[in-house]
Amino acid sequence: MIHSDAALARLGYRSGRHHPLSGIAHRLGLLLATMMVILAAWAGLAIESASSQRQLRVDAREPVFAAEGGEAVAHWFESADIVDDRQFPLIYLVPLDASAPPPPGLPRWPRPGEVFISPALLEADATVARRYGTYAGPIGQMGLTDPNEWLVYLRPTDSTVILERDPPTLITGFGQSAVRNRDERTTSLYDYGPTSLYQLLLWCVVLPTVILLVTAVRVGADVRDRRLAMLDALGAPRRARAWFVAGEAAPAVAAGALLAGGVAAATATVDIVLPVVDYRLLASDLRPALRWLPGVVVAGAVAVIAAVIGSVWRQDRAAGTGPREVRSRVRRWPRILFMLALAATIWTATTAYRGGGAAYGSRLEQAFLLSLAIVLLTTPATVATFAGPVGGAIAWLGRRRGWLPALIGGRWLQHRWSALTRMAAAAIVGVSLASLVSVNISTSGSATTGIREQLGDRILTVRGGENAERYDQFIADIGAHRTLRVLLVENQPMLVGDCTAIGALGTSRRCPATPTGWDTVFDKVHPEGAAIMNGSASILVSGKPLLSSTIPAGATTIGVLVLNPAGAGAAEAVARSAYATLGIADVSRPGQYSIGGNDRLARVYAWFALFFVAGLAVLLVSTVLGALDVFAAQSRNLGPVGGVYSGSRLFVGTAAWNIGAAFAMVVLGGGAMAMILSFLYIRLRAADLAMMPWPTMLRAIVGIAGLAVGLSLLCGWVATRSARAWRPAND
Amino acid sequence: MVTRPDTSAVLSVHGLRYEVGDRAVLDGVDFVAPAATTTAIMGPSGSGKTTLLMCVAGLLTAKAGRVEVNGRQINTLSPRQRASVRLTDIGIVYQFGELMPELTPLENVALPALLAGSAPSQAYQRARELLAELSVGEVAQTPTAALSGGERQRVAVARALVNRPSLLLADEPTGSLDRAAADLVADVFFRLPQAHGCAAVVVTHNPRIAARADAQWELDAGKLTMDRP
Repeated sequence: MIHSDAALARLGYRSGRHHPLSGIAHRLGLLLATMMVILAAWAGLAIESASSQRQLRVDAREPVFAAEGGEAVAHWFESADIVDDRQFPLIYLVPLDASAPPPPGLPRWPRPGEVFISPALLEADATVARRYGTYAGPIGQMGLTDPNEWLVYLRPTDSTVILERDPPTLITGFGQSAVRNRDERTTSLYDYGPTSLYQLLLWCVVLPTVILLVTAVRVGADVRDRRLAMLDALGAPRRARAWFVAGEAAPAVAAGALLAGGVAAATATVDIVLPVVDYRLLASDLRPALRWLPGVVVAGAVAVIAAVIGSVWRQDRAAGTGPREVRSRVRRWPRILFMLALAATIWTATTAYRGGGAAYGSRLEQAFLLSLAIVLLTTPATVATFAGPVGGAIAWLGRRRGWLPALIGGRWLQHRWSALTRMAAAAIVGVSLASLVSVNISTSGSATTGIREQLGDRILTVRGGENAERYDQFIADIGAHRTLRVLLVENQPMLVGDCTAIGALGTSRRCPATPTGWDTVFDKVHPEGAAIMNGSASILVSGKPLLSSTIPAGATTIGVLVLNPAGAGAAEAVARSAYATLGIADVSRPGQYSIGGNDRLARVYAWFALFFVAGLAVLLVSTVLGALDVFAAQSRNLGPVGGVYSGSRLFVGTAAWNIGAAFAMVVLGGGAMAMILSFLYIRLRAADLAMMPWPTMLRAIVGIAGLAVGLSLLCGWVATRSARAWRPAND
Repeated sequence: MVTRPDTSAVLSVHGLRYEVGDRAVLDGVDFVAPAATTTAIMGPSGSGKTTLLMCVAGLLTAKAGRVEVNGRQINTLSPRQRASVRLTDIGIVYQFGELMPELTPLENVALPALLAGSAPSQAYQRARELLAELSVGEVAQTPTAALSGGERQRVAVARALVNRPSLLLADEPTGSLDRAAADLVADVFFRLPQAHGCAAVVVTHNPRIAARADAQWELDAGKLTMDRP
C-alpha cells in the first residue's frame, strides 16, 4: 500500500507539471501560503518568546522595597522625562551600601551627579547626556527590556532630595519581589503588550494568510477537478485521490516550508530591525523558541497539504453522462452565516453604545470581534452572489452594442462567480481591515496640537517637589523676571512673580501686590497669558488663577512657569538648571502630556501599520493569484478565438470588463460593508467624535482601481499569449 | 498521383512539408479543393491528418511548400495576416467543437462575425439563420455546456460558416459522436458546399463518412495519395 501511495503521489506531481500557467500559479501560491502559515505561527512563538525574555529582564531590575523586609541598600525613586514628545523612565538612585549589587546593566552605582543612559536614548538626543549631570556611560543590554528602550539611571548631586519624596524609597535590592501581582515600576511605557500583538497577528496576518491559503489551494482547480473526476471514474478510492493531489502539492509545500524555516531560524540567529516601528528584535530573545521551530515547520506543511486534500475531498457525483453546466462551487451557507454574523455585530454594537461603549477585553467586545471576523470572512462570498446578475447585465450590454469584450467578460462573470470570490476576497477584506484600522485610530484619540503650534516652548512648566527653598534657588538661577511661581492656596492655584514676569502676560494696568484677578490686572491679555489663564499652557494651572507679586502666607509651591521667549533653543538650559537645582525635576512644554499621549498612540499605530502592511502584502498576492487563475482558465476557453484573431485588444478588453467589473463590485460591496463595520465599531466604542474613514476609503478606491488596471493588462497579456499558442484538442 | 497548383481552386496545396524533430510528418503533400466540392482526407491515427489541416489553416507553419487560398499564398503571411485570412476566408470545425461554454450557442456563432466587424444585428441574424438551417435553432439560447455532442458540432459548423468562408475545414467533426449523431452532422456538413458554394475539406478516419465526399485522399507516411477522384 505504501508503495502504491508513493507511486500515486509521484503521478500527481508529474501530472501537475503539464499545465504551465495554472500549474505555476498553483505551486507559487502553495509555496507562499506555506511560508505564510509557518511564519505566522513562528511570529506567534516569537512574540511569546521575546516578551518572556523581556519580562525576565524587567523582573530582574524591579526594586524590592525595604517595606517588604530586609536591610536597605539604596534609595530608589522613579520619575519621567520627555524627549521628542516621548516619555521615558528616569530612575533616581542613592546607594546606602556601595557593596550591594547595582541594577542590572550598570557596571557600578552612579556617583553623585552621575547619569547612565540607554544607548537608544542617547542616539535619539545626544543633549540628554548633559541634562541630568555627568554622563557616566551606557546602560548595558541586561538592564534594558530591549535595545530600543529609553531609560536613565541618575544619582542627584544632593542625595537628600530623594528623602523628601513620598512614598518610601528604600530598597533592599533588585529582582523578583515577594509581593505578587504588584504593579511593575520599570516597564517601558510605549511598547505593545503581547496580547495586543497576538490580536494584531490574528487580524492582520493570520486572516489574510487563511485567504491566501484558500486561494492558492483552488488555483487551477478546474484542471485538477477534471483529473480527479477521471480518477473517480476509474474507481480510485479517496485515499488514492488524496495521495494524488498531495503529490502534486508536496514539492511546493516542502520548498515553502524549507524557506520559511530558514527565515525563521535566521531571526533567531541575527538581530533584525523591524521596519515601520524601527524595533530591534534580539535574536537571543527568540532562541528559546527555536526548539519548537521544527514542529511548526512540519505542522505548517501538513496543514497546507491537508487543506489541499480537503478542498477536493467532497466530489459531486455526476448526475448523467452529458456535459454539466458550468456551476459555481460557492454555497448558500456563507451568505446565511454572513447575515447572522452581521446581525450579531449590529446587536453587540448597539448594546454597547446604549451602555456607554464596550470596555476593552469585555465579553461584549469579544462577541463583536468574533462576529466581525465572521462577517469579514463571508463578505467575499456574499458580494460575489451579485456577480451573476451583474455579469449577465454586462453581457447583455455587450451583446446589444456589439462589444465583444463586454459580452465575453460579462458571460464569464455570470458563470464563474466563485472564481471572482477567490480573486476579490483579498481586496474586500483588505478594504475592510484598512477602514477598521483607520477608524480605530480615530476612536482612540484626537491630537490636540494646536496649543503646541501656538506657544511652542515659550512657556515651560517645571515641577520639583514642594521644597520652597529649592524653587527659590531655581528661580534665582533662571531669573525672577521670567518665572511665575505656581502656588496652592486652599487648593486654588495662584501665580506669583515679579512685576516684569506678570507684565509679560498682557498689557497691565498695575502690578498686583496681593492676590488679584486677571480682569483687574490687565487691559489686554497676550496669547501666553490667555493660554495660562484658560489652563492650556500648563498642567499645574487651571481655572483662571489669581495673580500676585508677593507670596501669601500658608501657600505651597507646586511648581514654576518659566517664560521662555527664546523658545526651544533656551529650553534645554532651563531643563539643565531644573535638574541641577531641584534634584528631582519634571520639565514640560504646553500640551506636552496630550501630545505625548498622541505620540504614544502613534507608536502603537506604527505596530498596527507594520502588521497591516504585512497582511496587505499577503492579500495582494492572493488577489494576483486569483486573477491569474481566472485568466488561465479563461484563456483556455478563448483559444479558438485566437485562431481567427491575432490582436490583443479583445483579450485585454475582456480582462478589463471581467476584472473591472469584479473590482467595481469590491469597491461597492466591500466598501459599503467596510463603512458599515466602521460605523458599528464607532458605536461599539461609543466614540461619537470619531471620524468615518472616508480618506482611507478614497485611497482604497484609488489603489483598487490601479490594481484593476494592472491586473487587466497582466491578464490580457497572459490571455493573448495563451490564445496565440492555442491548438485544438484532438485524439 | 501529383496535382499541380490550380489557380481556379479555392484551396491549392503544393509540396507541403512539415517536420517534428527529425521526422517528416508531411512530406511533399499536393492537393486541390475546388469550390462547391467536398474533399475527404483519410488515414490512420497519427498519420498527420490534423497536422495537414492545421498547416492549411495557417495554425502551423510548414517547413516547405505552398498553401494558397483563393490564389493567395498564406504560408508566407505574418501570423496577424493568417489570422485575418482565417477570419474571413476559412471556417474551421474542430473535433471537440471548442465552443466557449460561458457564451450561448447564438453568441458563439455570432462571435467570428462580430470579430470581423459585422453589425451586431446582422451578426446575430446570420447566426440565428445558420442555427435554424442546421436544425439547432431551438437551442440558440440554451447554455452551451448543456448541449449534446451532435448539437455542439452543428453549432460549431454554424460558427464556421457565419463569415461566409470560401473554404471550410473540419477535423474529425464526427469523431466524438455516436453513429446516429455522426450521420446527422455529416448530412449537414456534406450539404454545405452546394448550399454555400464553398470548398470543404474534412479529415476523418471513418471510411463511411469519407465515402460521402466528392474526392478522397489517403495520407500515409507523410504522403498523400488519391483514393478516389
